[in-house]
Amino acid sequence: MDRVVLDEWHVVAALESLSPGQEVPTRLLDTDLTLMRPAGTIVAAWPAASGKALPVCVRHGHVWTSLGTPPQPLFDLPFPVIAAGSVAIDVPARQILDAFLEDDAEAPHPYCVVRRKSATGLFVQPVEDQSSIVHLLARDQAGLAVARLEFAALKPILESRIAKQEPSPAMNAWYPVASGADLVSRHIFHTALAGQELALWRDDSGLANVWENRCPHRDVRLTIGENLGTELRCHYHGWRFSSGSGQCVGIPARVTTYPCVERYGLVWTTLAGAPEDIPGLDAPYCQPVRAIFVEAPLACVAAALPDQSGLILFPQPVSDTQTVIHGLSIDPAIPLRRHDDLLTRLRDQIEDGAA
Amino acid sequence: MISLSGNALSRETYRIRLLFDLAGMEYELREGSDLSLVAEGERFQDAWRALSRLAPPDWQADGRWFAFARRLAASPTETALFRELDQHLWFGEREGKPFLCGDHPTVADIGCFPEVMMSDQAGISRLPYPALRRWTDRMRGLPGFTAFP
Repeated sequence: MDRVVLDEWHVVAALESLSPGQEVPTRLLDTDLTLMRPAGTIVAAWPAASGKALPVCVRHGHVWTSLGTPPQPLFDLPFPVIAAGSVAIDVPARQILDAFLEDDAEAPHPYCVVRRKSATGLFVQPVEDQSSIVHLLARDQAGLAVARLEFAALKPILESRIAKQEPSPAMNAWYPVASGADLVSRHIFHTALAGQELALWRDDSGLANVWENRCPHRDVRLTIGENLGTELRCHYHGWRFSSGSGQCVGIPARVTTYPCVERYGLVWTTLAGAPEDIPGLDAPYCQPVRAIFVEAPLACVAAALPDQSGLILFPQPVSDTQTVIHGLSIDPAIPLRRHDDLLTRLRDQIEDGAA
Repeated sequence: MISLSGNALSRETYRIRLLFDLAGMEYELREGSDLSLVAEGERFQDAWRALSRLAPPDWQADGRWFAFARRLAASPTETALFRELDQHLWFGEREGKPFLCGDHPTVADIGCFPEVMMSDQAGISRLPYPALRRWTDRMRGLPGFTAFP
């Protein structure tokens, strides 16, 4: 652990969240701590493992401690604050602070950002590498709702960051990834093919798109964005990408797009190369059944697929451990519910076998 | 006038607010630690009782799906419940029933909504539940809808 970080004052609780006399567990920099407020603004903190008291100060409505030797008194804020609620989030502290720092914000402490205009702010408690507790701040009671709404808008964005993936060349084949009926008007459908997350959407003219589920600007998932009918709008900074090309409107950037073919009522795509054509189907009637999600790898699912009359099945590898079974009913006399019963039983058998 | 006080960050308070907001019922909201609701001369501490007692007639749910919402709230990480919901909604879409109990939303939809929206925090991705994701779009598009604070 970095000495500078250890020697820093760190926020561990809102004072008001500690009831007098009660021991409260928390976690800071991979270390379990216990907090206790004997009375008033007197608070004690110690590592759960050792019981040796840590330095503590109470300021800005919050309790601060340090795992090292905090050198200087705690920082000042440009305006007085009260606690506006604490939220646990599986995102590194740095990313939260960076995201909140945009616009008119300032950082009086490495783990604090305040915004003068909205009179809000946050203290971030680094719990572990990938998880944090965010302590929201408002100027007064009237500002509580603003502070919470502001963070509620940011939270899904922080949690929707995704890394760029390179599809494997072995994915040189057509796979169904949705049914055409899944892509309803103004919706963004979320799936994955061989670990590559996909955002599927239909524009108002009826054209379907299969895109990488990642905004090229700041890596936020497009599936939390908005389908505007002609463009997809990223939820973070509002970048808009055109149907068909994936080209950003007014900015030289482009979403990664994949081929998209609608056939037999299913939406097909391929991640790599120029594969053979989609399997031919010589059926006068075909109707997609409900796709079934199975928590098992493709190999387990493919080996278990039955040779069922009236039903043609196509597995979609979602990830190394998950598969979707798409099906086409080719016999109008068999109700969709019956196929669904068969496939959900099959799913349960496969999952029992894979477990 | 209905008076509601509660922790704005709790699912119970949100469930009640969602009913009032979507059904266009007037109420005053105050910040408090425990849920407390006074309406029609009665005090409610249980959000589920309040939902079923205060919902206007066209927001009443059928017993099965109201009970389902309570089960989901009690077991918000139970995969089997999410699968049941997704399957029900998928067939509903084909039968002209975009909401849990038919063609319009009820307290059963409101009852399920907070757990479904919070599920990713509990580590449950909604990727395996496409019909459920479309239903959340429909819920968010309702007039008066308010997001979880």
